[in-house]
Amino acid sequence: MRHLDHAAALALVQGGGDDVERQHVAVCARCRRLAEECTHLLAGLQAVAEAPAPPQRLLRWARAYALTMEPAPNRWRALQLLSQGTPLVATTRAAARTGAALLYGDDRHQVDLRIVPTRSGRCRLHGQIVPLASSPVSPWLISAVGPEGEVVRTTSDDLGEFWLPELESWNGASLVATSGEDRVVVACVGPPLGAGGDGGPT
Amino acid sequence: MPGRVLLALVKGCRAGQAAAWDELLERYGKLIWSVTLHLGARQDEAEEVFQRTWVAIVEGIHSLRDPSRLAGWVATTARHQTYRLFAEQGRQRRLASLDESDSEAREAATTGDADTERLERVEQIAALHGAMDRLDPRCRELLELLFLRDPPMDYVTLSQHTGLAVGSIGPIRARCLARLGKAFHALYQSSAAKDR
Repeated sequence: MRHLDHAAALALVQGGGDDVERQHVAVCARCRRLAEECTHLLAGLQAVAEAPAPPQRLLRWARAYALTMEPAPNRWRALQLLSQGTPLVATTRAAARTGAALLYGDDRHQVDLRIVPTRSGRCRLHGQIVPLASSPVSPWLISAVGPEGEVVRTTSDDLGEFWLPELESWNGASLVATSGEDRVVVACVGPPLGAGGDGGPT
Repeated sequence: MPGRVLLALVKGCRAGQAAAWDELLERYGKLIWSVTLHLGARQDEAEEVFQRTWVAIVEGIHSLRDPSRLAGWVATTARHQTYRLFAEQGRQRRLASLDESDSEAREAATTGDADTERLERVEQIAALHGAMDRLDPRCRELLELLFLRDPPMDYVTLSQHTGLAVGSIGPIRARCLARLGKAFHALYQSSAAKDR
């Protein structure tokens, strides 16, 4: 008998095929290997199908984040979360349990962000952008950008501090701060726990 | 043809097109999440890694040399970011003298002492995504609807959705699976060879 091709091997491991093919696979190492590979493929497909999807709010954030970026990558700096002090892992979720404080930073700026839940289930943001070099603090234009575009904007004071008022559509937004040639993007997934459950649509 | 689709996708993302980013997220969002969870991240850690990975992708897509390897690149980025987070945690947890047993487990994960099986599963998932990328759009759509959708689409609904005759779906499905199998095995063996 001729060796099995991919289609025949796949049919066989899915319960198809005939006795001749089954007997051939039992004695042919090459076809047995192919059948095993097909079993792997089907198991992989099943694993991908059954894998949980990331939370919707994370997907909304990712979309908004990508769209706040400009095509030229050297025009902006995406800050990585720092994990100095508590919480050790500075995710929004982890931070929410310890006062909703987030600290971001790179080699040029530090951004301290505090998410303050309100009774209405919305949240306010209090933040400060501080340059790490000894240069003076310059005013920043702060803009919260959600999946549908800019939600709200404000400017920082002479200490780099800013407040964003109650945000109805904060969920899934990025914070974009611009000052001259500098552009800082801070990723914020959603309201902290207690302000909006697991961060569903607000 | 599939290569052109990926090239157009990458170009669209580089140009800041919303539809391209949506497509990228649709294709690989679950891949990032799966890689991270399979490597042992908790939910909150996975969220952190997802953000870091996405930031790296948004930045790195401008310098990506080979768009045909998009799935592999995304999976590798997610894997690196997961290990990076584990390494940071291990360091910080030692400093904070917290939960030594957990810290040791993380250390083992970052130094490759354990979890060959998990790594293999990650390679398998990444290879499968890469193989799906190598299919023509019709095959890709058919297999997604038949295997990856929850719940999978039945033949009658699939026929209405795609315009294919119900009787032709079985043979087309078999041909598409065979193509997927060839691409999958080539990618999987290649990644396994790289790891050896």
